[in-house]
Amino acid sequence: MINSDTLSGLLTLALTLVAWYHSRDFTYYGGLFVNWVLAVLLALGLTSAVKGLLPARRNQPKEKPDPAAYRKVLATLLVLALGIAAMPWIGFVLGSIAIYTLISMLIAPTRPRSPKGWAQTLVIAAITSGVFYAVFRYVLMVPLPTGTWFG
Amino acid sequence: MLFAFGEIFAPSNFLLLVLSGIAGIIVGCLPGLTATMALALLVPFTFTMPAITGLIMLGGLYVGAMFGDAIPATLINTPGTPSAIATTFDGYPLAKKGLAQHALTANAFSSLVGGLIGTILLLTLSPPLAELGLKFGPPEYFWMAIFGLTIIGTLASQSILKGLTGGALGLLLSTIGISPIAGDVRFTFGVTNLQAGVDLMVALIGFFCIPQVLEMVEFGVKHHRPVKYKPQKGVALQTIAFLLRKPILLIRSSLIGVLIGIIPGAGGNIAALVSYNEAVRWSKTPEEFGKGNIEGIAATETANCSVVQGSLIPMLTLGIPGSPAAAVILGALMLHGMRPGAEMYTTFGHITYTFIFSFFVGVIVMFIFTAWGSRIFARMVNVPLQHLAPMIAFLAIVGSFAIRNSLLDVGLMLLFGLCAYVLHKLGFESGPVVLGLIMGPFAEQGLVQSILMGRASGSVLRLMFSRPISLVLIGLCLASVIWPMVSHWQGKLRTGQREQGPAAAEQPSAAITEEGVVMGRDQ
Repeated sequence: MINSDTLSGLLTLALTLVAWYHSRDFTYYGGLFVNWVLAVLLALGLTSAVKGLLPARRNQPKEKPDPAAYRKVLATLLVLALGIAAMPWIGFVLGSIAIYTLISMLIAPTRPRSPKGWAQTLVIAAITSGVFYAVFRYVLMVPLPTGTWFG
Repeated sequence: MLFAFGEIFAPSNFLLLVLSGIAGIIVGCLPGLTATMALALLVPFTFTMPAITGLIMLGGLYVGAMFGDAIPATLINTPGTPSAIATTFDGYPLAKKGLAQHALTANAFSSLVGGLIGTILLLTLSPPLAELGLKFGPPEYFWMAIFGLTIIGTLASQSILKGLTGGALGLLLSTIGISPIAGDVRFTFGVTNLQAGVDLMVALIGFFCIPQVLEMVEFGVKHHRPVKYKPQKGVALQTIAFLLRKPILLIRSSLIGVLIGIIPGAGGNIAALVSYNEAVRWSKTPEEFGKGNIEGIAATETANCSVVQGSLIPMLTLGIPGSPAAAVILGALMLHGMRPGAEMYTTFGHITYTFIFSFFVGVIVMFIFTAWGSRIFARMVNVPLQHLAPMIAFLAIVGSFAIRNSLLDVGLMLLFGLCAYVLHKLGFESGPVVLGLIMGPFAEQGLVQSILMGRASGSVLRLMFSRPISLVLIGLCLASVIWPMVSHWQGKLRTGQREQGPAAAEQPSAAITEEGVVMGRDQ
């Protein structure tokens, strides 16, 4: 299994390659700074990849990943992404209530949650969303999405 | 002076100063809302007011925002404005130890000192400092950016190599959009909205907020719970007494803030980072920074607040705003028929001096409010994790939307957050990436303009390496690169000596040691 130095070095090199490919059509002054930065990234990426292959780094103990924890992280990202994507249709208030409630459920120390726990979280989510919406919309004049489903 | 204070303490003016200051604190607290935005919203209200009243109100809000942005930076590791990035380095670790009130009091007092010293310099040295600001050309901007990038050596506590890579990644991110000189459209992948580039606040919120939420979800209540905050007596006096024993730190940080403030375009974020770097460099125990050191908080917040007055120096004397917020205030001045320059101190002298003196009163009022409120704000650390994490996610979404009213920014924020989480897993830190993002535009514009100027004048190298201010900045860059290595070597020697010496005496709980590290209770 490759360590973080090698992995980060390889990812850096991949990113450098992609950026270099997209920078081929830049003008001289438009690409000057970009090319310098890519050259630095190339050097750092190679150094990191090689450093990770050295014996001292290869033998370092590695943390055991926790699949259950990573599943929760993935679920959180999905909740955030879907909530944000849905906001143009369902509006800020509903979207944020859903995001708040689901993330809170993912972190809750006890499983499964009681109906009282769910109700408490929903109420807090609704109040928080409502207050934020009111302050941003009516005091700070930031037009948060109302949602096309609700006009 | 008597006239000025008489005007400031007139009931309506004083009330507006306090109210606008409190509004500024709230604006500063909310990521995504900036002082510039709030000032722009407030300017129309000044149309019907006397010029003095309008300026007092605008000044109060500007100062309040500089006090307020440190609160979320300390409590939830989320800078309220880009100027508070560096406050997260030591403020949040301190809050996690259950010592949020120490951190918030240090924020408030440091901002007070920065504001007072900045105002004194604004009052007394405006013309020569403004002239100094004018001497900054493209080569100086480039070397200032390189000096800023050398701070990576301080920020990258785990791995210098990964810190440099993070910084370079930040520089690459800063090139997204239309190039400043040639006009190329770079790395937008067909998305029109990206032509304006990556908004710094969107990146900040993504890099600081989302990884924290994801780590709270990953590790859960058992492993990620900070120590509960319990109110203690005498915290404010203890913290202030400690900071009063560090006058050199406070004065140096204030001067850095003012000097960087007078440079057009360079704002509080750069001043705070440079000041933090200098505090680490001059400290006897640099290894304590980043773990909850009050000196780190003092350095950043002092500079952050004195930048306000620094940015007003070129604005009042030359009509060149030192920051976007100063540009809004300039607009307000012109709306009231005042033209920056000599007239400001002669024909409109009574207004100008009242405006400047209002900063004295404003910072004292804001200090009283935020220091007294620190006991209340600190309780936020006790909010249960299952409510704190969604609230941070909430703030992140709202804050990133509020910048340009765009859900694309929210999506970008989430993407940056995911990238930052993956980078954390690979051993990278967010600080160097954000630093690269901040310094990138300065470095690129300075470099390209210098090359253009150099080619026109016959020698690029002579232009880049012969100007006096450039040489000073190059010297600072070299010192900034060499110093961490020397310091690391000295630290190793010191560690060796401590291991051989007698065991340390038991430290009292929640006391501030001479090194500025708050000794917390057992976790």
